[in-house]
Amino acid sequence: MGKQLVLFTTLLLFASGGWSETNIQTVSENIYVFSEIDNQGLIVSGSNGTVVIDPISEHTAKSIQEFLSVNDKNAVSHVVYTHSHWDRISGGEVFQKNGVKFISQETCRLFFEGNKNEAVVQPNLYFKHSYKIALGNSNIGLHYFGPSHGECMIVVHIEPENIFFVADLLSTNGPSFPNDPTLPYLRPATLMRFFSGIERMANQDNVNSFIGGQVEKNTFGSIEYIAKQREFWKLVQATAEEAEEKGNVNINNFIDMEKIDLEAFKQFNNYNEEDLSNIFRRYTSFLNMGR
Amino acid sequence: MLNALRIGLISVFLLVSGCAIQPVPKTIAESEITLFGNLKLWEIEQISPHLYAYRYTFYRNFFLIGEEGVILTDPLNQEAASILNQELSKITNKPIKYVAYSHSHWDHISGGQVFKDQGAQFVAHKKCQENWIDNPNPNVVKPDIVFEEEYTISVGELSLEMYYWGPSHDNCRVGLLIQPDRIMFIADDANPPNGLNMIYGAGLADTYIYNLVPFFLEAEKLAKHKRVKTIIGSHMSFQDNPMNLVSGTVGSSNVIKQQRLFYEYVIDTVQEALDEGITAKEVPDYLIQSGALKNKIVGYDESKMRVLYRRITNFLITGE
Repeated sequence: MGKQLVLFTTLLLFASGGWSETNIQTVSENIYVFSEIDNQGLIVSGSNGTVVIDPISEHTAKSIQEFLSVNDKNAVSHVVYTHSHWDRISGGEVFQKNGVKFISQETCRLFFEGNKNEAVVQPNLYFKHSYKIALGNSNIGLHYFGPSHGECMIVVHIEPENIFFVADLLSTNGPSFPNDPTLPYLRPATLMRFFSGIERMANQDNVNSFIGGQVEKNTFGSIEYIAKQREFWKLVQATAEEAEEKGNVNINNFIDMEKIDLEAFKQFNNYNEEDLSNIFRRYTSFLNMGR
Repeated sequence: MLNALRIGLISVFLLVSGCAIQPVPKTIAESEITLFGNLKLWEIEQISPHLYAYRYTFYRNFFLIGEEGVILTDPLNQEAASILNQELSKITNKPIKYVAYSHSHWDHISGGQVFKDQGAQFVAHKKCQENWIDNPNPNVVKPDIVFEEEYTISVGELSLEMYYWGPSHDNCRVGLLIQPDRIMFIADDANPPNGLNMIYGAGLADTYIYNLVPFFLEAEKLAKHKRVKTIIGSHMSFQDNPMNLVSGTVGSSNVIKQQRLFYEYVIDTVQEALDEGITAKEVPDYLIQSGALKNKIVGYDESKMRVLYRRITNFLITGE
């Protein structure tokens, strides 16, 4: 068992004139979680620099800048984008100066270059599989396991705390139904590869907990939730496959819910039958299309 | 003489008014099995002396019979391909030279082995090949030829031009142009008779929304440049309301523009709602209640529109 991290300080910063607030919590000596409305990212401050993971917005980026200054931390040296979604990664311009690296997985380039947003600083460093940031007393590993939530979401491994940061697909409250049952970004074809990749890395490195990208009751989630969340998606796919085989799918690709045993799904947080119907709909499409 | 004059005048009128006479497909073979109503399980229609459309259930491909052989497109599935193979042998004894894939989705492109066994070469965009490596399917024949921007396959005087305009519906869909007929085909979208018809998959799974409008603008540009007047639909569609199914085999190439407008209308409408300060969660209900697009989208379906509005809202917030 690894060391259990303890939440011990809370700072609250208000933006001048802004309606929203950025909440910054201390997680360990070098790690801070910041949040704005539903989204949260991380600051990892080391002896050689500071990494911001998903700056969220200009407002939050300014709050982070102020926080680092007030607390006498190193200036931002790296900004990491966990994936390409603007609602997580806008506002990096606040940190933009010579030498600051904006890092993203290579596949995100499709969206960054194909659909530009002035609020998002374009990455100046792309990686394919893994990338390591050394901050002296901290190391940050960036790992890509294939399309999962969108095409380019990565998993961040922070040492020596030995925790993961996973921006989406996992809830620190436990294995759950997804927030959006229409699954706009889910990549079913490679989803299992993503989960097995994280699980493998967690086993190798004895990682015991993760922090998620959404504000939730628990800051940390048990690493066991990853396998359980994988089981959720496996169950969804197996149920959709069975419904296809038995001819229980209508012309609009919806499964006849009355012919499904829903019991196994009720163990997951936020169980909702209507949501499940929409989740199945995405999977019957996937089974037809392969994508 | 009078008849000739009349035909000439009508032709001039149609030319001036911008209308084009569409080919009238003629059914040359059909299943004895009924799918429902008067609709047969499958049918083959002849569109021009060398161009044919093959519909199996709601899906459609087309094929060209040239001097040097046959170009097929999207085999659909094993059963559909097997039937097509049998029927093809009744139409021609020319060899099947090529099978062209329109995109990577299995429901359109499975079952090609029966043509591979006859020596056909399979052609697809490079990214389709990557998709099939990511998620292999034994029923999908891997391509022999891949390309990145444009590729043309020919069987004598006939050719099929394949154009890639970036990701759209999946990441490798190509626009197909049949020559010398000057007829286009864009799988899963732009189905005659109307590109403003309510779409089937409102969740836009595996769709790169950011490039949909640019994709159709490129298709429109090509249609204009190559003087395309006709499009073949890859799916059956409906006329005026979803209960009134029609074959949709061919229609005006204006359907391409209508399809672009469909996506533009939805994206712009959601953006306006967000600009008005409607929260992301409220957008679908707000737009349904306000009746937005009710008069523009043919076969408007509230439950589908709610899903579509939600998907577009997510796109405008995240960029994906």
